[in-house]
Amino acid sequence: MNLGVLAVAETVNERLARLLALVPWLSARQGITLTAAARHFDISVEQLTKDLWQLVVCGLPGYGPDQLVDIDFWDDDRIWVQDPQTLTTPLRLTAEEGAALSIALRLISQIPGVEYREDIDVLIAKLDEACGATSELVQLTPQTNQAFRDTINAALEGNVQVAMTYSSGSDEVTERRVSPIRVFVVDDYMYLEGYCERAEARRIFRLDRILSIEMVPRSVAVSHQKHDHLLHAGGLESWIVSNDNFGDTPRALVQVDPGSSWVAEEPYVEVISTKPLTISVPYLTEDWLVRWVMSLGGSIQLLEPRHLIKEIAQNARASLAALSARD
Amino acid sequence: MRRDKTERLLNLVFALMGTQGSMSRSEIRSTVAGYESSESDEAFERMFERDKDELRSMGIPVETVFDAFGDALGYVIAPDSYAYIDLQLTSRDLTVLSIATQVWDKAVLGRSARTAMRKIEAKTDKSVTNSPLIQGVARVRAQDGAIIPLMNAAREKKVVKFLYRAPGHESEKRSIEPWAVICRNGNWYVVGHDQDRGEERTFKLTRIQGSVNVSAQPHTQDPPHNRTRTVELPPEESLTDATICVSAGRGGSLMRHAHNITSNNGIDVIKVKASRAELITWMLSSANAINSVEPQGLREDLLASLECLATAHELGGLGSG
Repeated sequence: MNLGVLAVAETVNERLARLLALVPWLSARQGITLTAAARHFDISVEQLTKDLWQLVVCGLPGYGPDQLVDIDFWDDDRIWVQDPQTLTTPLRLTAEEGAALSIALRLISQIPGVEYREDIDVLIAKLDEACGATSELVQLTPQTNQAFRDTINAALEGNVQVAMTYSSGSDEVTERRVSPIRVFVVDDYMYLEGYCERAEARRIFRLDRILSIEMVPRSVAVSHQKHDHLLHAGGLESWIVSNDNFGDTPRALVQVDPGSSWVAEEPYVEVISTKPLTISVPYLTEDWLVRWVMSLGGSIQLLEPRHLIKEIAQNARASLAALSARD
Repeated sequence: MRRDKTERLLNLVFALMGTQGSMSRSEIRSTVAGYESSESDEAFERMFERDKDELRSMGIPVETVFDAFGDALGYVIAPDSYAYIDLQLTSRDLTVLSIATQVWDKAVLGRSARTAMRKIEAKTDKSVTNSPLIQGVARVRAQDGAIIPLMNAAREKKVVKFLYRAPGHESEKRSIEPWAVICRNGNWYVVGHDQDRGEERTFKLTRIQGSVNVSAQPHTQDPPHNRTRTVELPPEESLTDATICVSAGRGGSLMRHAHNITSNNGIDVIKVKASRAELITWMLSSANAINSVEPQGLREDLLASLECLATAHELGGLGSG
């Protein structure tokens, strides 16, 4: 992973881009407070004040009083643009900026239950035309069955339940009746959040693990209607963080065969040594760890925790015996 | 006051936007604040070249004006090519766009999305309403810095060069004509024409070492018809047709990829076509529930994997590690 690009402090480039956007933005909002403007640009009031001081000493050659940018920001915390010089309009969107927005819009428009789908399509076309961007150059398409999406969409619109056959992360197949609350996307995985009658609790289901789904003509209980569960952005954020952040979870030590070195490419894996390739892997439950090691069929070997090593060997022996006996 | 680089660039933007016609290099050097301190012609030239490139890299159209003999007269930022194109957005559009901006959050295109949003908001006095009108949300976590240059090279149809390490191979320099960047199962790939291999190839971005260099060379090959519209990752190996019987309630991974399932007396008969490696992984996920496997070769592979798994962990259990 190449994190270096993102971690750096603000560059001249970024500051200049902000200064160029700041003047027309303030002009359209004469009298806005320093606090509100700073919050909008996600900077401190101190930084904004520095930016404004920077702007008022710049302008057209000659640099006389009539040639400099003129902004008042000393009276009761409010900002008044008196003369923006040539900065009457923001800079045209770059192809990269246009693509960033239209790729995101394309992803949103695929989510069942999303409103304003027509507006989104119009926006994508406008952005692609104005910026010369082609958002198709980045393919971010959840690999889920369109018919399943349509069913969930219809269930969300009609406020009815769905019955589904679901294959869980532990490879078990169960029948569930769910009151859908909403659908969300993380990367190219699509998830249904809903109230599961089997679990008697809210659960999150991955759409590509649904084996079959149909609407059932039974209304969603009022308490599970979407309006009561509209999560603010923080809801999804904390869910992703709890899935990504393995800070406190125990870690297993695993030795990897040279032929399976791709295992070490997963972002959550930490390489301990390269010869032989030994990695540390976070695990939430011992069941998951045993299943994961087994699914890789002997191309990796568990070193720690030691008490699970024997369990894996026994599971493998039992499966061997059963499979041989059945023929 | 110290004339820093931001200030010099800002003054250059004002000067080139405000000029009638164009501004020559000597005018720029003598009138634009920030350049007066250059000690020599050479120092000025270097500084101005860098500044010009920097502005262009931000999408600011610094145009060179030529005379009738093809010599550079000067430079200008024409308002027509600088100015934001009004997208005629409604308040609802702004709300939708602000949600789109959140999709990238701290990921690779997050910064571009935010600077775009600032430009858009600068042009309107409408404000974004914060009500959660769109009930679904989306988040992209991509952190790989290679995505941006690859995406730009695909759009501009430029050749890229990078160092790539395929599993089990030494690092190798590759020259690719990228067509599209793809996310699949949370991993990122680039698909394009491999100039050295002379055919289409897929590269996993985590295996790219160092940075991606975008060259000035144009693409030589067009993508196959509609290739950029529907990119599928080609399978890495040939596919096997299998029939696997699993005790009911198990074998979820096999069932997800099945093309046919029939149930009979507590046994699910699953017909599935996939690579051997995938089939083995899916079977191992429900190993103790597998009743029979066809073809025979696949069954032997499964038995061999289980034997290997058992042996490796029996030894490990005795402490040899």
